[in-house]
Amino acid sequence: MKKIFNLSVVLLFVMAGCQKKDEYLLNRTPDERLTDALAQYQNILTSAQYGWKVIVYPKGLEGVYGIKSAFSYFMQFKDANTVTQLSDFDTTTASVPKTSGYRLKALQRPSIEFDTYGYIHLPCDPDPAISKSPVASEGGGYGWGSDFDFAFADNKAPAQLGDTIRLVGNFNSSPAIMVRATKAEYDAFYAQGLKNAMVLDKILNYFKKITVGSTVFESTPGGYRTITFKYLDGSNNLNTIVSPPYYLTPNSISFVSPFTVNGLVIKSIDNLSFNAATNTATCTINGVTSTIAGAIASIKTDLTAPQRWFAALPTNFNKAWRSDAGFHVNGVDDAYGVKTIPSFYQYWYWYNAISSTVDYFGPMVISGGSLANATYYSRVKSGPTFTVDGRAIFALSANTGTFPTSVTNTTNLFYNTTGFYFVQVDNVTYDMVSATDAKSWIRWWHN
Amino acid sequence: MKKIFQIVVAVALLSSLFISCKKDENGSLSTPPLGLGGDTWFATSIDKWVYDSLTVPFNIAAKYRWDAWELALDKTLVPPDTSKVIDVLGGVKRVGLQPYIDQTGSPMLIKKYAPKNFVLVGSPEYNYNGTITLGQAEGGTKITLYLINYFTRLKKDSANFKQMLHTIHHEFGHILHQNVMFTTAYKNITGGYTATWFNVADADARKQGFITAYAMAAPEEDFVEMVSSMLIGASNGPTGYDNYDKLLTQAGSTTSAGYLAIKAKEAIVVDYFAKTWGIDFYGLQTKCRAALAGYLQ
Repeated sequence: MKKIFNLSVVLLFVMAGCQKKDEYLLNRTPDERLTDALAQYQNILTSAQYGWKVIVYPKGLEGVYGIKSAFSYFMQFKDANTVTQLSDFDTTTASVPKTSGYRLKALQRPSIEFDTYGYIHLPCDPDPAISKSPVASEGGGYGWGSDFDFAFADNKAPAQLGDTIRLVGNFNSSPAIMVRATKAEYDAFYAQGLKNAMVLDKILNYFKKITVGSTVFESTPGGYRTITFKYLDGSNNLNTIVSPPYYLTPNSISFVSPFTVNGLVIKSIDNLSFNAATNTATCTINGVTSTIAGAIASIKTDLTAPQRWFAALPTNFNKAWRSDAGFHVNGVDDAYGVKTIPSFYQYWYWYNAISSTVDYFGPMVISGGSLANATYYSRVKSGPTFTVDGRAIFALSANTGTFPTSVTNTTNLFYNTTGFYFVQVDNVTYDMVSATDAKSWIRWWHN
Repeated sequence: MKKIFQIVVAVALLSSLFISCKKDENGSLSTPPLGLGGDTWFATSIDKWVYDSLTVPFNIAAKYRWDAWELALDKTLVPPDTSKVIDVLGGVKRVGLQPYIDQTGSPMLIKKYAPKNFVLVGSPEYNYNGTITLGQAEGGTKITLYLINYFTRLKKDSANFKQMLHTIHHEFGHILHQNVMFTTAYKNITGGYTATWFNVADADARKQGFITAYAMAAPEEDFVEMVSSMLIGASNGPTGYDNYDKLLTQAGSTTSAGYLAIKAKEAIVVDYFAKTWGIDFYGLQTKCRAALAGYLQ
């Protein structure tokens, strides 16, 4: 009997030990909670009547290349898995809305995937010709190291989210931030606000003077998404500072990190407003009302630059200065269309190519798999006239062959009697800027 | 007393049985895991087109929305632009599948053997060795088509589209010979198959009796490269994409060993299609070329 009793007690424990009690968090299974979370996120995204301001900080190039950047978007989400975007990527994306797909997906965290091609994919595109990637020379394949597939990263329940949502990219771990837009902001984005912030492209002069209070800076064309600032220091030397990459919000330029130009710490340029009649813009820098205006000459012309440019020719590779795309005129790259010349390779200024006193100015083409001069070109008297105020004026020897319009226009501009200023960009690059109005220039480089 | 105690224990035991069997149904286990059976989204006109034009008639799926797990996880890639999807898949259908249907007079061959999954990618895939991938196929069922965002129906820019079709005909050829093998005589025409085929230029491969360098990889690859090159042509270096006859001129004169080897392979391909599948291969070739010419402008 005692044995049975003992056994019974043991059995009792065993039975009780088998009892299952699934203690689910919040009394619901993970799948139920995930489904619910995605529905709530979807609701939050689509319920924003005036859309979302989104800024993505690509992280993929930070580790290896130390390149920081930021891209700004305006997005409106619809229930039908579509999102309409504007972006500060270029003038088209800033002004023409594009609709593409998105969907919410349960990956390791609830995630939002922009699943068909929209503006947010441009900095992610592995083709450097599309992404304008700063590491294009690596052969492409990385874009800006940005993301289009993000996890919700706030670590709180969707219901507790306010007007700000933080995201982290699932591929490159790029952080992004979404802020609910107001009616005013919505209107600003659709009133070409991003395009209005691209003021520096609207002032067509090569030299732009930025006046902040009593200080004058100069800006010259630089790389994509950076601004080149120049200023005169105490000993009257021209210094160059290249800004960190910027992103645009309506009527404002913001830099990913503050930087210092001649003692002035700049974080953003705000309240940009362009006046087409005067070809100038007003803005606020550090709270100070400032102006941006085109200029015909630099605040300090490099007087010996033309001579240095010409003197470098005999030692340049192939004794030439080369340009990838003819003249930039009135805001248009390759305005004369030399790139449309069949088999166009580069435009060359070729030292002593004709004789010891005559140089070659014309297109180079790929012919039969190798580099050759075109059948039409201009013969330039070797050695331009150098003026004391830092210009070079070229003189025609003779023209050869029948010019297409692109070459005629290029040649006419080249021999203009006011000549050109030269701006040294780096050791192997010069910009040759028309001294007439500074609205035409060509970039020469050698390797 | 003892009896009462026994009864109490028995009751306790019995009730513990019930207690322990009770499951706390505080979470519904009938909810399926999220995303089970694939993602869903609001069906668009593209989804409808794919369903009506590929899924219903041929049981073929085409995935154009981003799904990282279908692709190389270490590569930077982007999804396709929706404006290109129907043009690309329409081209695949008209130039890749329809000629077989027209030639055999029945959709059964395509229904039964055509690759079943297409995955679309907007960009090329940049490889670490500096090359880019234009198309890729896995196991005769899944074909990944890259460069969708570059797609155009302009004839002058059609090299990418032809490469896509080359891949599709190539994979379809594999499926066919995996069902019924071609004659072993094929392997003995040239021999010289090598794993380092990529060290040989296409033009040099032709002199050695292979229609493309990749054909040197294995007899099976050789066979399907012949099939796809005869139907749609092949890449010819920087000058673009050329059809079979033009490629053949690079093999040498009509009496050279390379030319004769390729011609001997051609004969086996034609014979195989006629005897195994009842397809007049030259008729199929004509239809493919006509379909391609008709799709481009």
